[in-house]
Amino acid sequence: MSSELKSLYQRTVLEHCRSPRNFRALDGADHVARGFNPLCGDKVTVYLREGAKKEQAARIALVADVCFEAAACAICLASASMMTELLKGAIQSEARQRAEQALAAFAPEMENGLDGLGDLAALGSVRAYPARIRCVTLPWRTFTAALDGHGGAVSTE
Amino acid sequence: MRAAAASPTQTERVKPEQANRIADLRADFPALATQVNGKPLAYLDNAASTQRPQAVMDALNRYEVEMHANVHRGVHARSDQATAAFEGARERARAWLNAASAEEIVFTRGATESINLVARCLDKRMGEGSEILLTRMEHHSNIVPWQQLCERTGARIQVAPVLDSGELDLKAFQELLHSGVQLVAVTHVSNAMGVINPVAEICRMARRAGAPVLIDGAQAAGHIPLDAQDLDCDFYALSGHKMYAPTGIGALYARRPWLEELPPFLGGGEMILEVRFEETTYNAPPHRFEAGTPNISGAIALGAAMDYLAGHGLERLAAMERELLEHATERLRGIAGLRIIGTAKPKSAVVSFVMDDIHPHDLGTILDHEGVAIRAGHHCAMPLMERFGLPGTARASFAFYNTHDEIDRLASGIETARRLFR
Repeated sequence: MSSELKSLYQRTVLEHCRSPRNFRALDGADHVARGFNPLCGDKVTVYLREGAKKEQAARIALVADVCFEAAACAICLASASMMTELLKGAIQSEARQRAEQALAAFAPEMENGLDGLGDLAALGSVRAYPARIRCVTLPWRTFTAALDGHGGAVSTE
Repeated sequence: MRAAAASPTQTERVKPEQANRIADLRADFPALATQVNGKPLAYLDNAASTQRPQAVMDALNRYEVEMHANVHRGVHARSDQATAAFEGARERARAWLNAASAEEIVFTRGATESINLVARCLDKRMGEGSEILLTRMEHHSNIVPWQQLCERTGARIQVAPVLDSGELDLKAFQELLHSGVQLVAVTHVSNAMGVINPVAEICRMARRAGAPVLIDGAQAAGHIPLDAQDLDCDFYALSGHKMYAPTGIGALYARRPWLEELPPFLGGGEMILEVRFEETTYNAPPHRFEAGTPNISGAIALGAAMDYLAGHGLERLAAMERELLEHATERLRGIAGLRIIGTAKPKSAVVSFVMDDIHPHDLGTILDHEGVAIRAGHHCAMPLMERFGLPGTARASFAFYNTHDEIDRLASGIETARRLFR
């Protein structure tokens, strides 16, 4: 097996794929968004429950819980699992920033930009596979849509 | 038109003893000798698009150098030559489909445009209460144009189901085929599974019910000998790039009375006899349906591809593909956790399959690393995928130029994926 292949499907990725975190429907979700990749048929649903904490009398909005369900490839599943792990409990504005950072990091020509995004760094080599970048970004775009309260469907196209 | 047969677009015939040798056949296709990811290419995505033989590329090149000019217009020699070669290609397509006359062949951009042409021209025959009978295994290109026709006219779509084996449920098809059906549109070969539909039987059933039939032949035209008159279909659509010709060229066969009756498709040059601001008179078929300067070089290349296939004997090439299908089916059946979708017979040389715990997309990437090109996804047949409860499948599709060794590499690549995902 080639080293490129081992780098694409490295241990962390396969581990997330085998036992995805937060893989369930979320009862009482405040927002639900569906993402779809029409090229391959992959589907992701992101559930989001909002929360808040008080800091010096200011109310700070939180991502109290984030879960997902998916019929998708290993890359997409792992990306979604890593995402929920990273964003669960995060301050909403920071969660949004991270999502934007992740989406930017997988733009064409990018070589870095995954610092601070947890296990997602393990998916960095997907950038060598233009056809698979949508697989990584689909959960993140769906999360952003959920956060924005877009109940409709997100498409990679 | 006879002169065109001896034109430089005629492919040189290959001696039978040479044709028997797969190495010689492969040498006709320069793309097959290339490498992918440092490995020799094993091109098993022929249902998506086939590779071109050198003879087709040479015919294209010869046309560009020696003949190119606009057709049906010039008073000069090159225009005459280009017209003769273009109409010569139409005659080859006529022979390929055994149409009664070359006027029954309309050149299009491909099967998709061929189907759209028919759908766009049928508005006046459709209305509330009209039904269009399709099958569950249609490619999106044989679904969406009919949905658009329904939106314009109020007609409705009926869908004949598919059995677990991938076979069309002919009994249900018959039940849906009543007097309200104004058109039957069915694929000859399922692009997603390779299952070959009994199109002759379907045409007989439709004829009894008084319904015209369109056959989507995109997956059949380069693999199965065709005879439109014997089939007794009304329309037959094909794509050049799935039968060793370039992209952007295809054909529609339509029986003469239809072409006389249908209104023009696109408006422009070539499709007219006389244009006045008060009134325009349309040209006769097939030119009425070919507005603008056509894809002359594409048509000539399609003719060259047909010559190439005919020169080697389509029956013999088809037999080679059946043998490859047998080997592939046997090899893939032996892999644990692999399930073939579409087991009905007869089948074209396509094996669609899913793996326990490995998504088709991941399998496609892993095989690509081994130099093995397959298709992964819904194959533009989402209703069929839904029927089987699958988001998609992996699909290996063969052409006569594929080898046992390539199929063995496919099998061993799948084993590599299994080890990786274990």
